[in-house]
Amino acid sequence: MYNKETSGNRITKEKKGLNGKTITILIPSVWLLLMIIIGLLAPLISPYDYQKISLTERLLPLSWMEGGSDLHFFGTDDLGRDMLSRLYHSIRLSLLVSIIGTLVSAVLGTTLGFVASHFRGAIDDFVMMMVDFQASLPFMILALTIIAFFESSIFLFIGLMGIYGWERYARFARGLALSAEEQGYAVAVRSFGASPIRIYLHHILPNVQNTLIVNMTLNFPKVIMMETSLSFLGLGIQPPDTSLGNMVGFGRDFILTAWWMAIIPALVIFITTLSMSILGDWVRDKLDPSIQ
Amino acid sequence: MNSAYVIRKVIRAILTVWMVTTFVFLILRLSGDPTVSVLGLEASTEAVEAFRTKWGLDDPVYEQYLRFLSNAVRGDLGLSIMEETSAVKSVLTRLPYTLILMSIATLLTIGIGISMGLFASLYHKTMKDHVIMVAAVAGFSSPTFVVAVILVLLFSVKLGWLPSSGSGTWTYYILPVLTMTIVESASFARFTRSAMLEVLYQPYIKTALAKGLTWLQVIRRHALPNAAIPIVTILGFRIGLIIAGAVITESIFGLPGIGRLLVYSVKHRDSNVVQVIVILISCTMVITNLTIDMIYGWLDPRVSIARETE
Repeated sequence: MYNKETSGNRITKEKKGLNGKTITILIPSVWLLLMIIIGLLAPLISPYDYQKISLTERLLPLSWMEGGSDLHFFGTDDLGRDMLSRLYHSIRLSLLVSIIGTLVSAVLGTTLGFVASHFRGAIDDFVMMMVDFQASLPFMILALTIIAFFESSIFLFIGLMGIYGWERYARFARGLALSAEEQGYAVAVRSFGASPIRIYLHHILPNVQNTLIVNMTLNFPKVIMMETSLSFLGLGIQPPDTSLGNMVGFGRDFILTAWWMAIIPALVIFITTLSMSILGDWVRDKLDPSIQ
Repeated sequence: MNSAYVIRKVIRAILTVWMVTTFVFLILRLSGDPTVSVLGLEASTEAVEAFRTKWGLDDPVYEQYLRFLSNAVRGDLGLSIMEETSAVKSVLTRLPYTLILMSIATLLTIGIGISMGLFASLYHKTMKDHVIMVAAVAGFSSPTFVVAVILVLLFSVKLGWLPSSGSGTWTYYILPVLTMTIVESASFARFTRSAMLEVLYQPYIKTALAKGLTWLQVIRRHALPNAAIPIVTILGFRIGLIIAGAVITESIFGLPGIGRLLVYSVKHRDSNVVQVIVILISCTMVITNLTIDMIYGWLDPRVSIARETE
């Protein structure tokens, strides 16, 4: 990223795009807030039970299309289940899995990075070897292998999402802690007799947290994308639970006759990851422009 | 580039492949028994026994592991349980489809992504830059399967121009290649742009312009070579994502490549085939990253020295 001091020298028109900028941050924020509210209130605001099958109302189109019903705003799926209610519950589960996954991998990766930097030597080598290992196998392939060979359950799946991306946090945390340890403040508190845990949690962590937070916001859309992709392939969230990914997965078989079954959840995924990316970039520019 | 750097990198690469192999073996063997999923619950005791002896499933795990390693070194990774042929062969017959898909998509991605990024960086903070970047962020944020489903709806269902799934003529490759290119070139454009912007504001660019070089010369001689390192790095990072993208793309478009075989084998617990595919993928990634490390040393001789002292 270029830095602010030198940018003024460029021969380009510097627009004061404050309004445009605010709007590009506002819209994604509102969308994400909406998603969170839907996620929290899904059971309360759903017009129907999302698992209720109604064979007389199969494949109803969107309510404003020809043949649509006012009772089912986004129509129904191949089993006559209300799409809007399913969408609400899918948003709930997809967000839940992604948020837990992001938090777990952040804590796990950061801890391992700190452990590596504190103990050095063999432990450091081992952690870095695991980082190499993780980097040499696409996470999707790793996840596919594990999911299919162990009984697929929501806990295994959340656990898997909790490993996704840990190596980035570990690498950042280790690198930052190694350089922080050299700095005066860490040496000073250590000479006061502070325990390693205290030094890391109270002194080093606050100094490196911006980088980790930025990594977290940039990683979040990737976690959603991974969750929905695996569910789409039929290897993530299993029915009767529903996630945005497996709604698209099941809807795909009906794309000729009932395109909305796949396209509506697909659009929700797209707008959510897009909003998150835009906000992530903004947070990065604010907190730590050095990360790409 | 010194030889110690190269040797260390190669040893690390071999170690990584060994780790992946061991990991896969452990996961596949410890996770459970393929007998039930292959023969079904109603199989007779004799059939189960015969199956278990045939595949050596009753031996201790470490014996299975040692046998597996010694066979693997000789290139023998067992038979595909589903197809009753050599697992390696079963994978190799699928390889061409994946290679065609990935190589075309990767070349297009690099070509389109880098030129878009370059273009955006030269028009930094103008309308052209904004439009490209909005498109790039949108592409970057779309999961592969979402792009694929939308393309199928558009080109197969609504317009009826292209087949939505299967293989045969080259027309079956258009949508898969398009899907992967859209997703990947977006991130290439983003990274190229930021790598270029970092370079374009350096004093030596101003010097080069001041001494009377044209923009074209400055970009070719001074900006691009310096922006090359971050761009090459991205290639290394993205290769895993390109492979994962191929798995999804092949599954959606019914292209009988390795990715589709992987999903199929995983669903049917055909462990030998999964092993071969995972090892193949990790080798591909390790070799790619090794090559990139070598390219680094060549692009910037400081790198191999700096890494040596790390």
